[in-house]
Amino acid sequence: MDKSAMSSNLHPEWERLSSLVDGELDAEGTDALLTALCRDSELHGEWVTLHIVGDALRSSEVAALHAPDFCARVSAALALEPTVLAPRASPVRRSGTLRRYLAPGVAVAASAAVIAFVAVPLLQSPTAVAPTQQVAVTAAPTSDPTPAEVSRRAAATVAKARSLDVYLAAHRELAAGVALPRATPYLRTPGEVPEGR
Amino acid sequence: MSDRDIDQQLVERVQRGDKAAFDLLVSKYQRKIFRLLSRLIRDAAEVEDVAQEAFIKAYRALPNFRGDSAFYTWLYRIAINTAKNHLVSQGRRAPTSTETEIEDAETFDDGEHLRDLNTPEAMLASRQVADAVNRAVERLPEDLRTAVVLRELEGLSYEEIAETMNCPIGTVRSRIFRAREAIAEELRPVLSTTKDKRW
Repeated sequence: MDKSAMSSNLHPEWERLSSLVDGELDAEGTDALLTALCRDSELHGEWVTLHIVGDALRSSEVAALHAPDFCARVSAALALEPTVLAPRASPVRRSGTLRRYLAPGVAVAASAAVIAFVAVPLLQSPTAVAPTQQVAVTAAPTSDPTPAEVSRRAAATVAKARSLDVYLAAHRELAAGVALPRATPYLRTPGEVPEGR
Repeated sequence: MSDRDIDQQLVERVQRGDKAAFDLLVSKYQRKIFRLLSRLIRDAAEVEDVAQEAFIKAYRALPNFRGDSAFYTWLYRIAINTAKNHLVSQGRRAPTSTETEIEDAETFDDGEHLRDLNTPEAMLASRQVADAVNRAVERLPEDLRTAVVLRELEGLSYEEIAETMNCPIGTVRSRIFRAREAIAEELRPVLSTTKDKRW
């Protein structure tokens, strides 16, 4: 085997990619190389090569089923799909500072929304109930605010939490009609056969 | 970092809107999914169609994937269900006893209990791949052959291989990589690709 000829044709990152496939790169190197992998078609080709070799060594039957055009076909179909987004479940990747400043804002916005949408109509109603009014007064930051003042403060508080918009939009997309998110892969349209039958 | 961790990182990238990361998962698992589906569906073209449908379903469901199971196990279940629904829509029945194969998915035991639907063409292709791999491995220098076998077939870490072969980890990394490249050169003609063409 002509090692010098082989090495001259090789992408400088291929050996690191071989290590990544084995889980033998550090976290930082893995992250950087995955980013490059998602952008570089040559690196993607090497990714495919490494996995075919692995499959072939463990099962010739599996490797023999390789379809060269399949990935491009799926990629073309994916291009027509809406881009999926999921809110980050773990706070690890988010800054602790961001959570510290967002959480109080969410609480204040929620309180203001209660005031604006529950207390204000009740205050304006001639049949307002005393205990509800008591709750509304307790929740208000100053004594005897006018309904207009309450609405203004609620709007100002919501405006301050505008940085939540992207996060809430993602939640909204997921919340629409999905009561059992873990069951989504198993949700059926009419006519499909339930599992186990 | 395990194989499962790498998959999880790719999944999280997809969940952040990077479709190219999903392409990497497709590239990685397409052959295993084909192998699984070929146990249920005889026609090769249908296998590809159902496989594509399964991957698209998986992509759509990814926002709800939490990593409680390995990505491949989760994908495997989707592929099985997609195949079953496909067979029903064609007025056919799927073989029973697929649940145990789902449990074994993580150990790569993808469906030995299912019916063997290998066609003569598939068996021939498999034999050609096996012959190419055997030729390539036999031609490897002993140090490269040992390193790649310990890694791919025994699943040893680089550190364990380095200890076994009494060499630095960097040498292990290089040997495994060069062995893989040599095997790939032998496989390309069998899998109908050339060096300047993507797999």
